[in-house]
Amino acid sequence: MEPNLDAAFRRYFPTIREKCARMLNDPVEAQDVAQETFIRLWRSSIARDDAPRVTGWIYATATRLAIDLMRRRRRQGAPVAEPPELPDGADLERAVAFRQQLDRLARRVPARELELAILERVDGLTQAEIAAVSGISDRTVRRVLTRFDERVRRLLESEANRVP
Amino acid sequence: MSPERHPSFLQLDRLAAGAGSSEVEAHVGGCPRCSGHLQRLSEPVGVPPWARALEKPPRSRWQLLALAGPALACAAALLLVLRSPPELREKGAPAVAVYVEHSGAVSLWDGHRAVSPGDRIRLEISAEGLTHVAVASQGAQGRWQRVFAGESPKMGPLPQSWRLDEAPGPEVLGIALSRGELDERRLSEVLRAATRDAQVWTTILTLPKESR
Repeated sequence: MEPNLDAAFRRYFPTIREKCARMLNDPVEAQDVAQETFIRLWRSSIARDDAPRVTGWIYATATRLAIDLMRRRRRQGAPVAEPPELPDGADLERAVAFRQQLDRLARRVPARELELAILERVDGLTQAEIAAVSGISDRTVRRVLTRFDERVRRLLESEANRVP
Repeated sequence: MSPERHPSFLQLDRLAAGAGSSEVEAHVGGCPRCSGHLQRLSEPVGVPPWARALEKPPRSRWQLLALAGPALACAAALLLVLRSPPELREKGAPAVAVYVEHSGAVSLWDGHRAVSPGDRIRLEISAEGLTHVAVASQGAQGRWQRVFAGESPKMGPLPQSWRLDEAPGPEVLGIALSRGELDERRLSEVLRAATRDAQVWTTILTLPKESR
């Protein structure tokens, strides 16, 4: 069945918009990534698939696009906006702390590690959900996230050692 | 699901899209944070002009232009004098640079600048061990049409370039690097899924195009 643009937009764009707002501090950048994600969704035949598959695709694609943007921004030296409020929740403190690190980490850790870390720490996905969205095994998810934590720990230690 | 443990945003989004579990639904009923998220998703949205434009008829196709002889040598020489492309990903990951020849001058595409009908596009790939490269352009209903396939060059641009035609709309180009050759069906699959794993790395470039 051919998807209907209005129906697809109303069904999926709010999800994309909220997902991008969680990842990116700057609302203009979040809107840009949301727009690009929807354009890709519409132009791919994924939009014809069932909702679980489409939402999984949205999470993977929007995360990669946001990481690409963060890396370009760091390269261009663009200013970083203040983070907006995140909704209340049990993991709020952790999510805020992680997102404040994102801009610093974007160019310093491999994109794949950052992608899985965003899915876990910003979007609250379980490791099984991350595995399904990313098309890898639970074991690989655990391994990549462990490597990410170790890399961040070393980076923070290195920064602390440079402080006079 | 315990009240202390919130479902992931993915589970909430699936619920909003009509594919949630009863367990998540029960949690949302007693959780202001999760019901607030669903409330934001349910607020009415209009379809903006940029999305409406997606309904327009299929865009242009890339016109293949096989360069040979003096033309190839000339283009290669122009590319060689350019600085190395900017790093698009972390060290050790694949990267793609786009060169645009416009009115005889070659420049590195910055990811945003509009291209023009008649411009010639060339790709330089940093394959990072992935042995094959395939390029596709996107056409009607998002279908991918393969326009190049071959072994990844060890260094330098692909041995083919493309000239843009005058049809309106952006040019969308999908590039897949892989450890083996991808047939057309598989190429479409990995581009649709935006696959990036140990075997396949994909990226999609959307080049805005000015009308003449």
